[in-house]
Order: sequence, then structure tokens, then C-alpha cells
Amino acid sequence: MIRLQLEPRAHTPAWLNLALPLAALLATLVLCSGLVMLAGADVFEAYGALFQGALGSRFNLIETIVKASPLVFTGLAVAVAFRAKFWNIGAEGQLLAGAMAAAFIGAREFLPAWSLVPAMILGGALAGAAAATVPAVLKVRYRVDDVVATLMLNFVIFYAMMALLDGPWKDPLSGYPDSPDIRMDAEYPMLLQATRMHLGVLLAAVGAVLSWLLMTRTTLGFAIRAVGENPRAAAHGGIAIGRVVLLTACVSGGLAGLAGVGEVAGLHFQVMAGLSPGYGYTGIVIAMLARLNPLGVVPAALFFAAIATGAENMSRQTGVPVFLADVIQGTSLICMVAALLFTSYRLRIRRHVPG
Amino acid sequence: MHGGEILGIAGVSGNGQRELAEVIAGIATPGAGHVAVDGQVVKRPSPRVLQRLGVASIPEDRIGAGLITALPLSDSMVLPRIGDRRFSRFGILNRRAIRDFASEQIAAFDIKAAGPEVRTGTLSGGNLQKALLARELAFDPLVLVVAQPTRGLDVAAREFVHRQFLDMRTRGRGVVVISEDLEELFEISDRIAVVYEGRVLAVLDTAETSVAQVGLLMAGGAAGGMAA
Repeated sequence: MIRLQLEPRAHTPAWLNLALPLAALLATLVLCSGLVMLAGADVFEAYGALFQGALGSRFNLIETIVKASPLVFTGLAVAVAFRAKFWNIGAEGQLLAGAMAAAFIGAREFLPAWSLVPAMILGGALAGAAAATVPAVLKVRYRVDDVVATLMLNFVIFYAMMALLDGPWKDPLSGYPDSPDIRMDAEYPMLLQATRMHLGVLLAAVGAVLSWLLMTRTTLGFAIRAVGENPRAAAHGGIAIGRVVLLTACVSGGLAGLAGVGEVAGLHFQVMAGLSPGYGYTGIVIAMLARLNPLGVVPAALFFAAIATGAENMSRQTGVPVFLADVIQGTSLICMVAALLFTSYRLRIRRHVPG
Repeated sequence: MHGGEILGIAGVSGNGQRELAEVIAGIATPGAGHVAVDGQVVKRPSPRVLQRLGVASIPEDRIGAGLITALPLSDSMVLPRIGDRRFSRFGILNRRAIRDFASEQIAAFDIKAAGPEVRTGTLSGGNLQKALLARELAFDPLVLVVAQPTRGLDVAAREFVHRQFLDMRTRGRGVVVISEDLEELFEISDRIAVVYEGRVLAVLDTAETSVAQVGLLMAGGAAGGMAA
């Protein structure tokens, strides 16, 4: 008889950090193939069309990368916050706060042209940080549940934004609830001519490296990990937990705010209702998929962006509904969470010796 | 409490020992009275302030309040000192110094661990306690407050821990041992304070008292009080 047994690990081998997400993704594709077949398409053809549409040409590849940049920022925002067990479900609202700040600053006529982009980046990050500080203060001061507070604030910010867009901030030249366009000088410069590859893509990559350095090389990162893993021991060790949670919220909200700045300054040049198709929520899944490692957020965001951009192509070619993209994203989270078990445990196969 | 002394705190669990330890460590604020170190009243006690004044503490709950089981041993071992110049400057960690410190302490205290980067939680109870001791004693504190220092430890580890306390006394440092193990207290302390319902009933010279007398006081008995 063969028995399977889980044994705790002393170390998590480095190769697992790569192997587990890949295994989870493979499992996701296998699990979702049932739905593809239900839709009456050939599994390999459909997945082929999916990845062809995401990565198959220079244009598609750039679209995927551009789409990934806000996801990198929201993924980083969540990864940093979750390390401290500050359950920031509010990246969506913080993104919108950053976007609104950027759109407002970018449309100011009195600002010199050179100052617009830096001011939007700074203002957007600050707005995102401010939006995240509210639930953090509530948590630290009054022990208000951070999941509920950050989540609910998303709706407050979204509907406040819609109220502004339908009222005082409405673009008089537009029939839709949109904000006025930002100035030409406020637009992110393009990294590649005649594409949509804007400065925000570079900022996202830099943000990932800086977040990784923050978490692994600084005392704040050390404190964030300590508070997240064991707040009592951290407090005994002299770490001011409340201060660490507040700082974590600022960093997290600032990163989410930068996602919003990129969407305004790089793509839409205004704020409108459909600015974020749930980038803040997808960021949670991405952060989990990356095991809260800032460097892992980049490939995870690229994967999600690829699924999203490729789904259109798959739908056109094989008739599989685009909603499969959402199913794949959700399933990948479940597979990843299941796979995480193997970072702290290993599977031992034991042959039962009779007698 | 003065230097070169081991003071035992005896009492049935739940009579204020944990609170006492937390007040001395700076975690809890005293309802009345104050904490004084070296004759100076500590105005705004916090764990960091008291550490800086030379008060080290090892909590009763090693895994819950001492070390961080999910992080590498080296991280757990520098936790209270991470802000020191030796381990970080301008907010940037000196990872080599952290690792070297942990390796040194692992060797010095004969901690059974595969290395400084091994996950803290994989160590045995005795080795966790050694790691905590190593962490706190590395900076030669004036006073060490330790709760249930040998609970769950084997004989060898228990002796090792006691030897560390005696060494501290020899160096003129103070040790406060909070324990329910009377045998342990009689073995190592110079004086024993008995707590009951949050109050110190008596402070007795170990040489002049008996297990029976301390036992009576621990039960809060008036007879015990009169005998004292």
C-alpha cells in the first residue's frame, strides 16, 4: 500500500518559486479546457488563438505589455499591503483617486509644461496614499476591519467620482460623464514611436524593482514582514505596529495611485466611468499568484494582461466567449492558493510495509 | 532589584506575572506606579526605550511573542535590534552583518539549526529558547526578565539556561525569573518574591525560606503571611 504524507519543510527551495506558479497555470488551463469544449471549440486551437492574440505580433505584444502596466502597480500595491497583513482590497478606489488627481493636475493651465508629468505622478501617488490612509487609521486607531473599510471605500470613491463627472467636473464639450482632457504636455511620453507603449510601462517595471528592494533590503520591509507574520513578537521586539501599518498603507495606496496616473496620462487622457475594468481587484489575484513577491508581480500581471488581450482573438476565431478570460483568471488564483501548500510542505510517498 | 542578583517571582499562574513581565518589557503600561531603571524613572516606557536602557525580556510564549516562526532564524534573532547601526543604516539593512551575527550566536550558544537562513519554526523548543537567550544576551543587558525559562526543556537545555543566568549574576547583572517551578526558583534565585492576586505578598531570602512557606503564600494563605 502506498500512502501520501505531507511533511513540513525547513527550506523552500528556490526552484519552487518558479515551478509552482507554472504548475498552477498549467492546471488552470487544463481545468478550463472543459469549458472550451463545452463551447464547442477545439482546446488546442482555442488556447493557440488566445496566446496568438496576446503575443503573436509586435502590435499584440505591445498591447499586452501596455495592459499589464496598471496591473503591475495594483499587484504591487496588494503585495506590499498583504505582507503586513493589511488587507487592502481598496486598490481599485486608490487607483481612481490617483487617476482623478492626475486628470485634475494635468488639465491645469497655470502649471508650466515641464512640471505637469512629475506633478501628476507625485499628486496621483499622494492621492492614492491618502485614500489608503483612511482605512489604515481606522484599523490602527479604532480596530475597524480593514477588509470591509478598504472595500467599501472603493464604492465611495467611484460614486463620488461619477457625481463629479456628471456635475461640476463634466467636460462641457462632451455628452458623456467624462472629465475634460488633460493638456498635451501632460501626456506621458511614448517609449516607442507610433505605439501605445507609454512611460507608465517603464515606471511599472521600476516600481516592481523598488518595491522588491523595499521589502527585502530596508528596515521598513523588515518591519512589514515582522508585523505581518507575528505582530505580538514584533511589538515585543520594539516595532511600532501602528506606524508600520500606516506606512504600509501609504506605500500600497501610492502604488495603486500610480496605476491610475498611467491610465490617465498614458492612455485615456481623461477620467471616465470605464477607466478601470477592475484593475484593483485583479491586482489581488496577481499579488497572490506572485506569492506577494514584487518581482513575481511582473510575470503574473503579464499573464493576466495576455489572457485579457488574447480572449478577444480567441472569441473571434473559435467562438469561445470572451468571459473565459475571467474564468481563467479566477481559476488560476484557486490553483495557486492550492499550490502554495507545497512551499511549506513536501509530499512524501511512503510504501506501507506490512507487519 | 539590584545588580548581581537573581530574583525569582513565584506564584500560581494568572496572579499577575504576565502583566508584571509586560510592564517591565514596556508592552503594557502600569495602572499605577512606575518602572525605574538605574534609579531613573522611565517616563514613557515602550519596548524600544526599555531595550535601550538595558532591559531585556524573554516572554513566556516563545513562539507567540518571542520569535517569528515563519521568518528566517537570522531575522528572528535581530528583531529587537534591527534599528542598530550594526544591522542597518539610513533604513537599509546590512544583510551580511545580520547573517554573521546569527551564525556567531548559533555557534556560541550551540543552537541546533541548519544555518542562519533556516525558517525559525523548524527549531525545537529548547533551541528556540537558546536562540531567544542568545538574542537578548548578545548585547549584555543590565537586567533580563524571563518568564518560564525552562518550561518544556530537557535537562541539558535547562542546565544551559540556568548557567547563563548565573553567569549574568557573576557579571553583576540582574535576572528576574518568573516561574511556576519552585524547584527551579530555589535552585537559582537569591531572593523569591511571591505574587498573589496581582500583589507581591512577600520577598524572601531563598536561604531563609522553605518550599512549604512559599507554597502557602502562593495560595494566598494568611498563615503563610504570618509566617513571613
